[in-house]
Formats: sequence, structure tokens, C-alpha cells
Amino acid sequence: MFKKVLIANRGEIAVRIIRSCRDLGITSAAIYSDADKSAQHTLLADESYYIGSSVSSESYLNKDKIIALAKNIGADAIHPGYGFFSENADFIEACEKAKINFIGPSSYSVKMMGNKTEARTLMAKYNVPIVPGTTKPLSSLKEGIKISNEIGYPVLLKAVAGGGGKGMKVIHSDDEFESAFETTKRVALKSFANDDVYLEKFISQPKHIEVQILGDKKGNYIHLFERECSIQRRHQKIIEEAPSSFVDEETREKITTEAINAAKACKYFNAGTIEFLMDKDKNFFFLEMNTRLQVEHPVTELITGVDLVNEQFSIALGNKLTIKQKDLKISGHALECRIYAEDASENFMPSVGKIFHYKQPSGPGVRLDSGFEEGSEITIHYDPLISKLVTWGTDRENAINRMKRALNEYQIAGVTTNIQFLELILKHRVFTDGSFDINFVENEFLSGDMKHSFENSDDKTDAAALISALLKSQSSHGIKRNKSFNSSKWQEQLYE
Amino acid sequence: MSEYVITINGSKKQVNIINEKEASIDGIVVDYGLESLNCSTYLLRINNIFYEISSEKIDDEKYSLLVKGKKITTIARTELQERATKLVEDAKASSNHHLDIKAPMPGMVLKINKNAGDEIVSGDSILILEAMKMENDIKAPSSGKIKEIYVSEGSAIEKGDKLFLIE
Repeated sequence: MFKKVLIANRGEIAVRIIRSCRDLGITSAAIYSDADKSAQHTLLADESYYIGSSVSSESYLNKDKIIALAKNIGADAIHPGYGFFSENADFIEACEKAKINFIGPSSYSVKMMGNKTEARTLMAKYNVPIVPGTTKPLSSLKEGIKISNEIGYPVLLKAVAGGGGKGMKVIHSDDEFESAFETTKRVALKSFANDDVYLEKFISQPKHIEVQILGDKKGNYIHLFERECSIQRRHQKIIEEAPSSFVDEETREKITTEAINAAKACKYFNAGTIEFLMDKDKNFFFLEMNTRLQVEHPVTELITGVDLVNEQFSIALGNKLTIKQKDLKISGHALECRIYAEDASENFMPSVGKIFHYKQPSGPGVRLDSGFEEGSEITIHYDPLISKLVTWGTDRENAINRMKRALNEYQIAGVTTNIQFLELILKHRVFTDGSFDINFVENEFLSGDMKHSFENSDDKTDAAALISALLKSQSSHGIKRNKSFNSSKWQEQLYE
Repeated sequence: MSEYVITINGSKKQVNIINEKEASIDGIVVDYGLESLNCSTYLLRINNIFYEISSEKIDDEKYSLLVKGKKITTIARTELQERATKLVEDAKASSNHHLDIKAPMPGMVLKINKNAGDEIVSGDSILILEAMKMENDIKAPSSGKIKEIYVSEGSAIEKGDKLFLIE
């Protein structure tokens, strides 16, 4: 096994990887920026190294600094987590050059799958179904309009180098094309330093179904079934689950086979995810492959019992897969809610601040992958994901009930979170019956004013009113009154 | 006995602190107890239910609370303050109304969609603020006319900076 692994990431995923390192007896080395001096990953790792200022390009996205540090401290591997350098071919090549093991795929696989049009061409070659559209970047506005008319509106304009929902736009007619073309190109250039865009037919009301695979360096592959991630907002996943309640045995057989074909096509090793769109008739189309560990990997871990990060380490070492396909089966149902610091009633504005009170849920079937604790600060420098709350149940209903219970127990003060918003989704009939598609959140929750959706007349409101009056009376009566509040008389009343 | 009016999300609750054991909320008398766990966390009991509450005082009358995990913002005023506030508000409503819109968070102004002098309706996108790797749409909270825009595209701003003025 590796001796020392540098974790080139932060937040909950860095913490998750540190935990696997500890399980495997690997020394974990964290890196931190100015903003993360007291972050949980910095405190939890065996060793922590200052890497640079809070700006990502000076720290978590500084290739040279990270590689130099890894060499300096004698790390024999780097785990990139997700985001940052996880799908960066240059970084992987730099690791190879420095003779440091990159816990992930080869730069070849990342390059093949990182460029969306090339990936589509490759999939088409290997007969993996793709959404009708172009396999090459659009050369002009005129060409885009011509192709849109051929495949028929609505179409989806996407940045070749895009991801995470950034840089795509649905276009319904010729009239909308020009402005959408310009915006998408502008966003793409700014976000990905590449303004190439391509077109796909827009599949209406699809579900997002993805397949987790593992491949070793000897060309062996297994799949770990599917996840459904249709609960999204602006193409950003919010709730994920495994298995999908929509996928039947026959469809599962087909989609997992295609996923493995996709992985083979790019000679993939490591943990990887092949994302598909599935229409109402259970036809599915290749969307993209994520050549890294996914945010939502815990739901798969809970239904299969496989520790995906441990498998990543084993594969990177060159070991053969230890798990056989026939030994894998789906056990129960798992659900993940992403806990974001954002205000659902204010157009999901990210919320920054210090968490001054933090109490996490626990109990049967609850797992929390968190990167923060009491005293942690959510800053503007990084994405607002606080934690991932994951529940497991014997069936979907059981998993949902446990999630409701866990969300109810979760207390985070100091920043606004989306917990109440998640609770609203979990209560919705369309969520519970499983008939939702990727537009569900947009259609059901984002059209009206969110403020009115949050219940206002429960007992917590009464408690809020009473304590406000009490605090107000304390402050207006000054120190004298304050003393009596802390007297033992009060405590007696509480426990009498 | 002290009487308070607590405003939560626009609706009002009448709270009467009768003594150190009893209070009434909208006329219903409850038995209560309060213990301070640390400077910002309290344990409040109302009859037989306990509430763990974190409180952040925003100003003299505004509190940001987390009640058993649920975020609730309250405005607490004494009966007298409430009446005074109402008088001031009524007077304001009858005169010309100015509203300064401030930045809800630090970030960078990516794009300004309106110009000074534009007539706008509530919900119109005024500008795009980039923060935490996301583009955030800053919308008009009320209808009217943009009197002034204080920022320009590309400018870095701090939380609370004035963005624009609606008349």
C-alpha cells in the first residue's frame, strides 16, 4: 500500500479521503490555503501543509506548488478528490513525470472523455447510444441554425469543455439562437478558457441515470449499478439515490453493459461514472463520463458495501479488482442530500459566515460526510457545499423517512442552508412516487415565491417569538435583569 | 408584565411575558423556562417541549434564530416601539420612496442589465453578481425607477455595499 498520500483538495471530500487513508494505514497529507487554516481537513489529516492564498489558482489549483510539495514531503501518491485537478490531463502528466502515483485514470482517458465532442465520436464508434446532434464543435452561427433545423427544436447548446451544468442553454427557435450562441460562448470562454460549443437534440422530461464502474490497470471492469440524480437545480444535483426506482432489471442490464463499453472505449482504470439521460420509454443516451470519484459516490457505497476510495487506492497500485461482478448485489436503498450554504428564499444566493452552532444528525441508517464543524467558516472562495447527508433504508420509503428524520435533527447556525428546501422536496408527492424528471425542481419549486412555501405557523415559530421577546426584555433591562436569567432559580424550573 | 410584538416573515405575534414562569403567545398562556447554554445558544422550554435555539442579534430589534434546525428571522419590538414604527412607516408610504439595494455578499459585478433611469418592475434582473463560483442574479425587490447605479461592471464589492437606488 502507499505510505503517504497528498490530498489535493479541501472540504468534505478531503475529509472523506483522509478517513480512507486512516482505514488503510496510509499517512494522509492535507494542503490548505489561508481561508482553510482551521478547516476540518486541515485539522484531521496526519500532516497539513500550507500551500498558498485563498485564491484557488494560488493554492488548490497550483500544479507546480502541489507537485513540488508532494516530492518534498515524500508522498508516493496524490489523490485529487473531485473538482480542482481531478480531471486535468496536464496535472496527471506532471504526476507521471515526477513519478508520483495519481489516484485516478490515465491522462489519455481524461483527454478522451474531457472533450465532449470527441467523447461523443468515440461512443458512437463503440455503439454506445448518444443523443442526436453534432460530434464536432460548431464552426459558425449559421451552421448551428442549420443543424438545429435538421434535428428539430428544442436543441441544447453546450460548451465542449463544460461540466457541472455550466455553459449550456436550451434553444427553442431560430430567433433565440443568436443570443444563446453568444452567451454560451462567452460563459465557456470565461469558465473553461475554450469557447467551442456543440449541439444536441434536447430530450424532454428525461431522468438522469448514471452508472458507477470500476476498472483496473489490467483491463478488468465491474459496474456497481446505477444512481439516479434527477433532482437538480440549474443542472446542479441536489438529491441523489441508488438504485433508481425507475430502472427495471432489463434496463439495468442494458445500461450497465453500455457503461462498461464506454469505460473500455477510453481504456479506463479507476472509479468512474458514465452519465446517461433516460426518456420516458427507458431509452437512454450517453451524456458524459466523469473520470473521477463523484460527489454522490456514498449512495453506491451504501447499497453495495464497497468502499470506492479504498478501491481507487488499490487500482492505482496496479492490483487486480478484488470484487467480482457476480458477488455484487443491491442491498436496500440509499439517498443523498447535498447540504449547501445558500438561501432558497433569495434565489439560492450563497451564504457566507462562521458556523457558530453545529449539531449533526446520527442514528440508524445515517451517514454524514462533512467538511465543516462548529467554528468553521464558509467563505466566498470555494463552493458552498457544507456536507452530504446520506441515509440507507431497507427500501426507498425507509430511506426517505430516515432522511426526513436526519434533516430534522441537523442544526447549522451562522449561515443559511438549504435544509428546509430539501425537506420540501422530500415531502412532495412527485418525489415520493418517483415519477420526477430533471425539470422537477425547476417546475415545482422555482416558479413561485419560496418564502411562502416554508411553513410559518408551526410551534417553532411560537418558540422563536417567545425567545425574541425574552432576549429583548433581557437587553432592555440591562445587566440587572441578565443576572436573574442566569440564576439557579431558572435551572430549577427547567428540570423540576 | 411586558408586552411585545414579534414580526416573523411579515406576520405579527403578540407575546406577553407575565412573569419568570409564564408568558402568553397570541393570547394563549404557556409555562416556560429559559437556560443559556453559551453566549449564543439557549434552551427554551414551552410547556413540555424543549427547543434548542441559536441566536444572532442583527441589530437592536432584529434576531436571526435557528430553532431546532429551522432558521427564523424575527423583529422584536415593545408594544410602544411597534406603534411608533407603524407611524413612521405610514408617513414614509405617503411620501416619495427611496430604496437602496445592498450587496447580499461580497463578489464581483459581472454584468449590469439596466441603466439609471430605467423603469423596472419587481423581479427584474438588475445585475449579475459573481461569487463562490456562481453567477447570482440580483433582482429588483420592488417596482419603480432606477435612480442611480453605484457600481460598474468588473468592480469588486463587499457585503453591504450599495448597488443601486430604486425610487
